[in-house]
Amino acid sequence: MMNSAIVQPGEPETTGRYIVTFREDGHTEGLAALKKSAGLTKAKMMSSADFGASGIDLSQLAADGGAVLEHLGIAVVNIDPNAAGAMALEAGEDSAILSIEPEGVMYALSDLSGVTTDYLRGFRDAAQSLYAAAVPDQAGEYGAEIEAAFADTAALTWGLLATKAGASKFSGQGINVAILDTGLFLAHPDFTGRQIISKSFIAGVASANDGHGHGTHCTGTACGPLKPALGRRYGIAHKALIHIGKVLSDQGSGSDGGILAGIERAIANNCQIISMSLGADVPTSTVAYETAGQRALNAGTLIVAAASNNADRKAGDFGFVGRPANSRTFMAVGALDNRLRIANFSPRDIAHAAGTAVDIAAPGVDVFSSWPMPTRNRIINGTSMATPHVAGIAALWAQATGARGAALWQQLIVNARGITLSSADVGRGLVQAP
Amino acid sequence: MDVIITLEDAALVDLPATRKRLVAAGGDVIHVNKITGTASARIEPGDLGRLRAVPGVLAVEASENIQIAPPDSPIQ
Repeated sequence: MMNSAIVQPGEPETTGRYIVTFREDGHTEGLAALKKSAGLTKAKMMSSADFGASGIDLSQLAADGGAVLEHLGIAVVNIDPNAAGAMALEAGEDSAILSIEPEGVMYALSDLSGVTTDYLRGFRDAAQSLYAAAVPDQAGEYGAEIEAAFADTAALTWGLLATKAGASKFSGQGINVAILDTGLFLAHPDFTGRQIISKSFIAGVASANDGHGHGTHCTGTACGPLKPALGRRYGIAHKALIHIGKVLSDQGSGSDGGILAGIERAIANNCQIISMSLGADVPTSTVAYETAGQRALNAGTLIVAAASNNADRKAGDFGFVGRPANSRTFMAVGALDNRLRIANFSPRDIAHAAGTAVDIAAPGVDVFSSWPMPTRNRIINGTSMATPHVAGIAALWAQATGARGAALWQQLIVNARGITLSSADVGRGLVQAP
Repeated sequence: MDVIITLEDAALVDLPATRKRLVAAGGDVIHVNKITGTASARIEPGDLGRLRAVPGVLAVEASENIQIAPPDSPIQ
């Protein structure tokens, strides 16, 4: 039923619809309450899950229907004002429905009296001028953070220097780290004597051995040795218990179903951190990954995922955060080079929805780590290489503070080093070890 | 087609029963994940509606294939 009341001056203008906010775990119960009190049956409700990348079209809302925005835990409904009023009285912290509010009418800023385009342009120019004065070395889209570049030394990779992981007194001891990838080259000398639990999720492949190399490189960064037999140190959580989930074949392919099964097993094995240097170049998230990520955080597991390599900034293409890193409940990782500039391939958030952005950045250019024998070590690039830096450092924070799940996420974010690049590129900044 | 399924909390209490309902709706169930409340299955596209209508199913979405770069690529 539409609200036909005349809006008085100063009164907020409303559409006649109502915004229903569900308690975090009250989705099903809240929908049942809407059915009971306002006659909104499941058949009258649209779901954002059915609309995929195109997004839900609220103009299709029936006069006696509603729409559930699955990712937000919110419904937009056409219900009788009396029913809405009665339900609003029942809503609150003890109810499946936290609130029921009239939906307001919004206007573009350009339609507002008193705020002209010229005013906004002047505001923008002033802000840019102040920013340029405050950050004189800022150099266009790439930024320029530091005078001297980090460089690999005889003892440490540049990544372990920039993140301070090489100086940390913590080792990840007592922490379980899962690497979901192409597996691990199990006979690599870097991991001799280490306790490793492994499982393949690839149909017809029994062993989690890595016949590609990608998973071995990522494991080397996250959990490689304190003192490799050859060369400089690149491993961060060198005493963590390693859980290998082979969710990508030796040809580098896998599926969402296998990845979700790998996440499940990691949580069941009490992994506090899951590192996922994988993804598809799809700009939308899924209910499945959002839900799995939230349930993982609730169980004390933080999932760290590569933002993707789909940008080509030199060509003016900023790409987008791919799936599943674009899930709000996954920590998405961008890549920096040794001058703390954003990597050419590292994507920018394009703001499909709040929370789907890059959350943090880490070394992802010229990264030296393990590779299947006989090659032994290799230098490669990618947000895939940045991600295990964050995962390994998360293990150090987990050991140092006891933080788990969302609290561990918070530790990484509040302790990141701020850098003068857009948060759309690097989130809170460069990950730092305790 | 391969799909990923999100289950409501209530559907996780009796997972064998939930699996039976998914199978009865035409799903060739591959995994059912109790902690994350997700599942994966293979299904004929014409059965998608039946699968979505199973009590306790919050969402049914297409499973994407993931492909990383080949081993010799400098960007991984």
